[in-house]
Amino acid sequence: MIAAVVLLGALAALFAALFFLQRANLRKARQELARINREGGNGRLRLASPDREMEAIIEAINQTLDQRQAEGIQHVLAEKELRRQIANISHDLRTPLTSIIGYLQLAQDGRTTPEERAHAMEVVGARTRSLQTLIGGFYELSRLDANEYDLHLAAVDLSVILSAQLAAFYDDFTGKRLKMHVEVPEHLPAVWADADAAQRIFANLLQNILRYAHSEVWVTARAGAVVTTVFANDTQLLEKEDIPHIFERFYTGDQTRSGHNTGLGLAIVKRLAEQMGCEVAASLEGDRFAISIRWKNS
Amino acid sequence: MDQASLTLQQGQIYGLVGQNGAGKTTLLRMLTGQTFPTSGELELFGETSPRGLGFQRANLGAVVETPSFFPFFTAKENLEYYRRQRGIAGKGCIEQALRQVELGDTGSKKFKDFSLGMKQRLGLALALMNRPALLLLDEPINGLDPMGIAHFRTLIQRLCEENGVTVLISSHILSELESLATCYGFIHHGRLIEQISERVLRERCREALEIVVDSAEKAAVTLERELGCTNFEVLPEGKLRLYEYLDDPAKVTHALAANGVGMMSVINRGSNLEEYFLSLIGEEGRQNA
Amino acid sequence: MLNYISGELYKTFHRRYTKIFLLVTVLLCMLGNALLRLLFSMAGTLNTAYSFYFGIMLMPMCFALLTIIVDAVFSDEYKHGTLKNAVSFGVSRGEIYFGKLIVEIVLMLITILVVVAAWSAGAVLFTQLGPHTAVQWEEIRLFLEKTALSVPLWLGMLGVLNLLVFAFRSNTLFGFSAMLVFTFPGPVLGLLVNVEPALGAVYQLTLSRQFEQLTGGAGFMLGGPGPAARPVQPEIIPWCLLAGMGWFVLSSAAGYLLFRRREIK
Repeated sequence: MIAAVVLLGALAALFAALFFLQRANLRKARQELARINREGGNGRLRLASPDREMEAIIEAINQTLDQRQAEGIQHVLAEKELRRQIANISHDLRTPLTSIIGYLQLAQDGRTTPEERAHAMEVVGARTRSLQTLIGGFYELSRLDANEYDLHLAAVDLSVILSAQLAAFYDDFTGKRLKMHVEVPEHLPAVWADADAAQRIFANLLQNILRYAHSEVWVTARAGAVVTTVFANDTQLLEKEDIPHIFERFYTGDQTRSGHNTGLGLAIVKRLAEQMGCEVAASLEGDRFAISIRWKNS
Repeated sequence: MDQASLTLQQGQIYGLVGQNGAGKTTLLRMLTGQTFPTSGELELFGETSPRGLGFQRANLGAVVETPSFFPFFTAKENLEYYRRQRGIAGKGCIEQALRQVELGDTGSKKFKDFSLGMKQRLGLALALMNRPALLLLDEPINGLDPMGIAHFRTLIQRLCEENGVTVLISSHILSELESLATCYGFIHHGRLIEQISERVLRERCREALEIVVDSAEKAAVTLERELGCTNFEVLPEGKLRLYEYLDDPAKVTHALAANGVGMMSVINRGSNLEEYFLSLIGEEGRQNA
Repeated sequence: MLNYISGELYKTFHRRYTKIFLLVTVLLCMLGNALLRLLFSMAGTLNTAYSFYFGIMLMPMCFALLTIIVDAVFSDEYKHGTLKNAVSFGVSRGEIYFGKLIVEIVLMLITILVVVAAWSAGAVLFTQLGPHTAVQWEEIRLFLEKTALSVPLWLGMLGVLNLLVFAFRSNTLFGFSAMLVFTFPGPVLGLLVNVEPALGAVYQLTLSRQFEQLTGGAGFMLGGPGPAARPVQPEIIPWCLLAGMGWFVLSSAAGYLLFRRREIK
């Protein structure tokens, strides 16, 4: 009889203990969570005493806190990146503006000759126009990034567009005395693309190789499993480690080497091409830097 | 330990600088509760009672002196023991902590077979598993190879910037502290003699004209009277640090020579943490003498 | 403290040391019984009961097992320097001291079960083979009763051992002191009582005295089972409980107070 009472008593004590332990666990978790919500920081919830179920739920809550912290970090990094880009943009706008203002001041100076004044205005005009292009480029990129760019995809023969662009740039290339290797067939199988976008891409790529080529350029378009276009130039300004970053806006390799950055041209090329479902790749073999695009079959 | 009051701000990396036996380790051991102050009060995160201190210590992660673990257990088993002891929920934290310190693949190697560098990293893993708000590190790069040191540096910086962890590092390898710390505390003979931010240190270590002369007194007088210059410091062993005339040292050397001051060397340079500390304790020594 | 105990349980039962200890204990029980069988067959009496009586006689010697148990749980933390990891997290000295004590008690209870089972199995196994006298329930019951009464006494021993293991930094010193404490003072005092009866009151308080009453010393075998086979006198019961729990409580309090302000390297 007594044994039964003692046993029951012990059991009751055991359950009471378990109950209060669980309460303590809950209380501690609640307090800690309130503190983290209030102050942030690195801390996570812990157990006051071992308990399988509590452990499982606390682990889950901690995972949520981990996620929240990671998101916070991402947010801060994104903000940093945005600030960096804004700094870049203002830096790139500042230079042409400074020279514009300089030339304007020159033009307004009473001591300049009419020819000098005329020349100054010409330069101002050119710089202003390039500023306009730049600003247009920013706008385009931001629309591309937000997927607001309207692409009208259709079956397009690239050879026509490419030849037109090559013709437009011909003078520039010969003016710079660059050796040109061009292989563009009369007709290419149709690809699924936006004609204007393709034109834009070719223009930017030609602009790019024109600016950076040392002595030779290559432009090839091939039919195959898919249509591939390759724009290449020889250059001593790039290293292997630059290649992964070459499509970033305003990417500058070693500042001291070239002094200028890649601007927005290649960034726009990559965005446009990818929006049309094409693959863009850059490579550097020895001195030959090439950008190839694999187009989508129509 | 005589008396020390350190103020750390969240997210700082605090470098504790001091000679051997100056009290750095003793201070850390009091913070972790291994030793008790013989007189006076210990306050951590605003708590002074033993119960409160114990409670706040749960927010600490500490690696004091050589990391100690059970030699008969593997890295994972050791961490599992402490995981249970500390009530950390879920076994995933062990893998995570080991990966953070690059000890993820020790497998069944027992702690007694660990190299010093591995022991150091396991100690750090234990401290990190805690998700501490404050990390106390005593000579943390002792035994690490250069790659390990570089990795340690990135890890600490990331912890501070991204997770807002505050770190207190006590080290006598000042070059390492220089590349990490955002704030410095100088301990000498058991007392905290100075606490300055990294920015202020940079300023004080700025470029100067260092001239070693045979008579510092004569030189000081010459500088003040002839050149009207007061922006200089007199250091032990005839060294003078001049913060003016940096671009025209010839003027200074002419003036000194004309007044019969012999010059042993004239250099234009900035000082570093080590020199700053040495001059600080030299100052202390002279003040107490 | 429960978290600390959870960690200690993990460590103690995950160690090879503990597993080997239990294994060896079982083997020793078997070996012991095999040896007894040899002796019995030489003496001509093969009686399972005698195995149980011999088992009862061995009960005071169990401090050796307890020493190993305490060592297994304490795990040389002074030598390895691992206590600082617990302390720097905020685990209090009390949690460490009593946490380990509780885990030692758990291991002790498990060991008791293992030994009782192994010894009984060994006794039955070895003495049931060949011509023998069947074992009576009374004899097994005596064995179990005396085991039960020894538990508080063993607890008292455990308390003292825990005090010793926390007091000495060197593991060898601990072992040595354990040996000393349990082999000399009690029995020596018992002998001295014959010389100076006044010491009898002091002697009554020792654990040795209780064991002596419960299990008897030597005086076995050749004449008969001796005091080990004596049924339990009711007067012994409160004394066992008092002495055992008394030693347990006092030694734990003293040990804790010693450990409280100790510097942890």
